[in-house]
Amino acid sequence: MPDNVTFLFAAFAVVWLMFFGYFLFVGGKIGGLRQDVEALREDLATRAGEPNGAASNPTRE
Amino acid sequence: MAQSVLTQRQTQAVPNQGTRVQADRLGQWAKWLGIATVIAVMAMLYMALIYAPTERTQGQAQRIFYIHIGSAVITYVAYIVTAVASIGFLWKRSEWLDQLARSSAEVGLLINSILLVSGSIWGKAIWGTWWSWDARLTSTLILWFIYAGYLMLRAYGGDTPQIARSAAVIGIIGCLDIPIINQSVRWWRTLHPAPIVVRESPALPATMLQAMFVAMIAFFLLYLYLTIQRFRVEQLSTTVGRLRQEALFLDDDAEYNRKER
Repeated sequence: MPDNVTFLFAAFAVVWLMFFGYFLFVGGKIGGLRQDVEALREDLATRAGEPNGAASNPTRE
Repeated sequence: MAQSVLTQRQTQAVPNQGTRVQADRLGQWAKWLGIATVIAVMAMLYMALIYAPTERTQGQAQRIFYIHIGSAVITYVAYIVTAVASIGFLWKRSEWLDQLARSSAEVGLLINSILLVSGSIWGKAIWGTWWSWDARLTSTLILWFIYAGYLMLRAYGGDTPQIARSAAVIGIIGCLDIPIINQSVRWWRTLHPAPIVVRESPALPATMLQAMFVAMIAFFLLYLYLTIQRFRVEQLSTTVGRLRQEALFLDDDAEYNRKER
């Protein structure tokens, strides 16, 4: 049954492609969200570091 | 006044630090689990493709069995975890249980798809058809649709408590299909073979059984690794949401103080 090797190869290839595709998809999401978290944290830290916060600093008037 | 409001809101942001620590710890775990998973997958490939003997009648196509049975068992595990986490969520209303249920359902759907695809390719090689509407295959496809529906509800229904509760109910009810799938080959006449492993004397030689167990371990580690990664996405999304809310509060404060002056 020489054709059977083709089916075996197809099954294994499809399975690992699906796993790898999902792994890349989730990895990309984690990377993007971590960047968002860092950017937002920096933004908040900058604002909180200003005297009385960005909100009530009279020099901003 | 503005100072006190700001301090109070900064204090509200403290739980985010906890979430970040938890997410980082999960990341550390995921790294080690990822290494273990790669080793297990390599072992599985060796056992399934080289170590296990070639079956006499089916030839090389029989080796699809190792990914097929591994994906079948782990599909059940993933959906049972979803159902248990959903029960816990409905009972305790803990956000992390809802996130776990959603993560496990998504990875479960991926492995369920692998189960259907590998079965279809194996069926074409052995039965001469990609698909047959027999009880085992159809009930497995129904399971796929139930959890696809669950994930579609989560994706398009909005991020509200009511949607989370409705999805939890689907997550629990969907799991009831598992015993039907399991017993389908006994209850109905099907093309799919009856169990050959879970019975008094397995119809498989020891080498095939060993390869099968290694495949199950590899699939379980893959499931665990991907679910943890997906769970991290949920946690990070929550953190981003809270930080954005925090930034909006600060913008409101700034606007309020500007008007006051």
